[in-house]
Amino acid sequence: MDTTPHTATPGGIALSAGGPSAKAAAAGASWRMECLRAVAVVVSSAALALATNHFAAYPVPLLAADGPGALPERAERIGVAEFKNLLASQKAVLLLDVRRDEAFNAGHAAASLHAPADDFAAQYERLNLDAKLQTAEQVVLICESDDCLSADRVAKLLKDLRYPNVRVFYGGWSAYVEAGFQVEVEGARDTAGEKEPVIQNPKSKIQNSMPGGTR
Amino acid sequence: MPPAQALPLSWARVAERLKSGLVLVLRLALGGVLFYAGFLKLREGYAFAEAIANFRLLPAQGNQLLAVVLPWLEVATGLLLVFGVWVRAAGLLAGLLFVAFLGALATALWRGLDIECGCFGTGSAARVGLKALAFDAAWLLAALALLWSTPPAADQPPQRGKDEG
Repeated sequence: MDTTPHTATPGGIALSAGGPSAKAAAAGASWRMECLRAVAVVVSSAALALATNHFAAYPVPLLAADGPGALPERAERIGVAEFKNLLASQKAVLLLDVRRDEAFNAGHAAASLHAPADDFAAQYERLNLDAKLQTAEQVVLICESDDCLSADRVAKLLKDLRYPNVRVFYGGWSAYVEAGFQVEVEGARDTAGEKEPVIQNPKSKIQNSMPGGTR
Repeated sequence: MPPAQALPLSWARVAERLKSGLVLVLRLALGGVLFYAGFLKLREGYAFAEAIANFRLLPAQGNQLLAVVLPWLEVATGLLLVFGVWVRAAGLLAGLLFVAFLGALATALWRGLDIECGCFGTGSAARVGLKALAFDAAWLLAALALLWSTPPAADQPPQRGKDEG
C-alpha cells in the first residue's frame, strides 16, 4: 500500500514526495501509529471490562482455579452395552438430558427429563429434581458429545449434592442415536435406525421411578 | 484542465468511489458482526468462560480473564469500525481476533473436539466444525481486504481543495 504523502498538481496528477527510503519510512511510521492505536484499544477495553466485572452483581472470578473457566473432573462414563444391561435390570434409572432446548426439541431419549446445563439450578427447582433423584438408583446424563463438559459439570454438582450414582452416557447424544435407542421428536415418537428400541420395557420402571412423570 | 486528461481522471474517480464504497461496506459488515458477537457475550461471563474452557487451551484463570475482556474488545473494535474511527487500527485488531478464533477452531477440530463454538455467545448452538472455520476465514479475509483498501489518510478528515483538480 502506498503510504507516501502525495502532492496534487493543478492537472490532478499526484506526485510522490521522496524516494523509496522515504516511502518505507512513512509506511513504517504509519504502521507504528496503527499498532499504538490498536494497543490503546486493547488496554482501554480491558480496563473497562475489568471495571465492569468488578462492579457487576455477579462478577466472574478472575483468579479462581476452580472458577467457571476450570475444566471439570471427568465424570464416570457408561457405555452402550452397560446402559442396555442397566435398562434390562430392575434398577430405577433417571435419564437426564442436559443439552440445550433446540437440541432437545430436535430429538431426545424417550422417558428422559430435560434439564439444560446452562440453566440447571432453575430446572432443578422446576422439575422437582430433588425428589426424583432420591428415588433413582442410577442417574445417566446425556450431553451433545463426549467432549461436552456440561455433563461433567452437572455430574460434579449432583455428586456435591450427595447423589453418588451419576454417570455420563459415553459418546453423548450421537452415540445414543447410533445405538438405536428410541428417540422422541417434540412429543412424536420416532425410532432411530433399524434396530428395535431397547428402552421400551424399562421405560415403565423409569416412569415409575419419577413421581412427576416424564416429558 | 487539459481535455485529454479528463477521461482518465473520471475513471480514476469512479474507481476511487468504488473503493470507498467497498471500504464502507467492509467496515460496516465487519464492525457489525464484531459488535453483535461481543454484545451477546457481555452478560454471560460465567457461561462464556465455560465455553472457552471447552477448547482446553488455557488455564482456568486465562479462560476467565478472556471471558471478561474479549466481549468488550469485540464491542470496542466493532464500534470503531462502524463509526469509521481509527479504521486501520480497528481493522488490524479485527484481523488479529479472527486469526485467534481461527487458530482455536482449527486446533479444536484437529484434536477432534466436538464442542460448541461460542462464536456468538453461548445462546447459539453453533458447533466447532468446517462451517465455523469457513465463517471465520471469510471474516479474516474481509479484515485483510479492509486493511488493504484503507489508506492511512482515511482516518483523517478529507482536506478540501487539496485533491481538487
